[in-house]
Amino acid sequence: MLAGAVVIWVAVIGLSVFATKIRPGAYGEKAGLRLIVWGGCVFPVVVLTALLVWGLQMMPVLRAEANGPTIAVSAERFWWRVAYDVDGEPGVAKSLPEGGVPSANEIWLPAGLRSEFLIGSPDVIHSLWIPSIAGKMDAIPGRVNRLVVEPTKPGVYNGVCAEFCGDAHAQMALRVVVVSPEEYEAYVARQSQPASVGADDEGFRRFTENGCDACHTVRGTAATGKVGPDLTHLASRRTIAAGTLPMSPENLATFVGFTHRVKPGVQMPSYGMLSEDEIAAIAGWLETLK
Amino acid sequence: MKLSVTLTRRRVIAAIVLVAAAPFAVGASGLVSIGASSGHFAPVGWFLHWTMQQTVSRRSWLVEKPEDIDLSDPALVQRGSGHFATGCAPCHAAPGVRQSEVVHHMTPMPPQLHVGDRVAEWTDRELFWIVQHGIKYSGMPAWPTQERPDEVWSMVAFLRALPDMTPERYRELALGIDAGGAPGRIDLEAGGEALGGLDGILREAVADCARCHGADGLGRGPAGAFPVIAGQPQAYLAATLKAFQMGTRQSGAMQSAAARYDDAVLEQLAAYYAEQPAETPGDATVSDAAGEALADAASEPAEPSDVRALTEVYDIDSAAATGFPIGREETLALGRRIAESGLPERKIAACDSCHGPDGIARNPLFPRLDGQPFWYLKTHLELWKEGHRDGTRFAHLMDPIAINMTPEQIKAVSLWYESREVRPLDREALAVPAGG
Repeated sequence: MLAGAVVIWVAVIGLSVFATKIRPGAYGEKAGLRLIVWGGCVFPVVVLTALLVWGLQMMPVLRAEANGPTIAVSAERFWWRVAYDVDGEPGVAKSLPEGGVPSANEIWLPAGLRSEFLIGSPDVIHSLWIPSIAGKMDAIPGRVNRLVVEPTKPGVYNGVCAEFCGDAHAQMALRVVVVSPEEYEAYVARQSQPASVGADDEGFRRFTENGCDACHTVRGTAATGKVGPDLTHLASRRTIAAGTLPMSPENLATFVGFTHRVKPGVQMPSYGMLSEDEIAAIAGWLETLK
Repeated sequence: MKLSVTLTRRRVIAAIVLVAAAPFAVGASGLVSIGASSGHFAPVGWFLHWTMQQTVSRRSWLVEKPEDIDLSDPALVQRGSGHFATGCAPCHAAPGVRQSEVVHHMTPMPPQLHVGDRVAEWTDRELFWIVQHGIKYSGMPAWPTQERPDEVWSMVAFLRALPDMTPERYRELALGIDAGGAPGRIDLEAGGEALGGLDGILREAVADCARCHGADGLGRGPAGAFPVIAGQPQAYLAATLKAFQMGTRQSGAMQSAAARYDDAVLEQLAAYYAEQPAETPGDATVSDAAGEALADAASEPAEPSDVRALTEVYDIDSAAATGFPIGREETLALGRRIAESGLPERKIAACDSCHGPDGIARNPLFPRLDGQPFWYLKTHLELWKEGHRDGTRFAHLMDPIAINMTPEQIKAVSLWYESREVRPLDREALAVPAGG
């Protein structure tokens, strides 16, 4: 590609040097007409047609069927609901398929496989964009968009919401972790496990008595709320609040106590009315949800 | 004769200084007749009153009566009456209550609103404006909060009913005294005998509360005129009364009621009403307001299978903003779904996860909603939606939920809780003090 660019650059610069320095002066009408017909019509038609044919031939590869997992991604104000291994049916769907292994704000992908995202939204238009892996795909309420990605290089990538969706749009990010297919399988298996929580754990008691369970699910406990992110393996994620803060007990406590200072406009209410000890107990317990 | 003055810079400045200083000279001279004893000089009195009338008339143009408010609703009249006795009757008198001799010596003298056409000369929205904002320089106070138009409308409803009110009817409405009952005797219904064990200030305080809420905490007057405070968690009642007292929960009636007592009495009141039974198994009633707001018939709650079936039949997400549900059954089904499972896709958590018996057992600062009147739940969800509803330190948890609810969803869930039977609370769990 560089070689082609150099050739074109040399040709264009050469022509302009020729026209201004080597042979300045006017051309006859016949020469001008020849230049326009051959250089302005015939040449571009031939070259662009050839390029179009070549380009169209590459399209089916881009739209090839996925041979990896199907992952449902629901973009919600202002986070990402994720479900691994859902049964995506072919054709246009109105709503995301149910089931799968729930998670949030972090998507793991197997390297070398073509994974398929099913992307939807329950509220406003968002857009899933993982610049290093694929182009944008809008999340539109009432329909499911499909995006097949084929990451080749293991690593951690950043993704963002690329369509303005409200106050906390700028803090609606996610991490994408590309690993080997074996590691991916092991990860999803781990995520599908319920949390192990002692019934007398103080943090868990504070979590339920202050109503957190009305919105959050921690599988394996009585907390089954579906409004906010699934927290069963919260501490296994790299960030909290959709890519806003790195995962740590201090940041968990900060987010619980000063929710709207950390992420203005977020749907979760601030729990600043709880005592520091209560917040620390909740944050400490959340940190154990590996 | 012709007078000519040459305007110089110095003269203009001197004139401005003189004009600005003149009022201070008059004010300091002691010539202004501010004594109430002398009344108004007639032309001045006429001008002040005329200005007040014109202002009320112009400013009330922006007032709009909500469509679902019916000023002849007896529940609305009942709701306005208790606070009239507390806040208005001391100056304006009332049927069977003579105007205080002290008030006769006010300038201007507060009108006796039950006499003649003193109320009839104002339109509904003018009355609303006067009650909401009060009248400066006349001694007429504003409503204690500017964020409760629903309360002000209930007072307007009461004022409309006032001219035709007999003294007996007034005593029954506002003072809780039975027709023919001995003065000072409280209208005791279920649970009333508990009053016998109370002493002094608490007895007086309960009698005060009972004028509206009944000694049993179920509310006096037409069904559902007042929220049910009987059997609410004690911690919730105490925190709410203190929030009223501090003005952190908005209510003209309750802020002034709670401010009359100190913390110790409020705690005892909370304990008293928490002990009153609210459970009425199998006796689910629907208030007139809810009945009118929704279509006719059957009060049987729908089965869960119906909820499922409905969403399938209509092939519409029942979270849809408008157009669904259509009838009473469907509304109840939607209300039940919101209460028990929430609408996660609309970011509405299940009410029962905090307000059900288990939620309350975990945190007694969450109130019980079972059996609360339709209008009460609806009004307060709307207040939350508009940012006018504070309360206990947990009250703001309702903000995002109420904001995410459509008017249809608010009606549905309010109807569901009004019609559902009251579930008993685990009193032993509630006996443990709230966590901090």
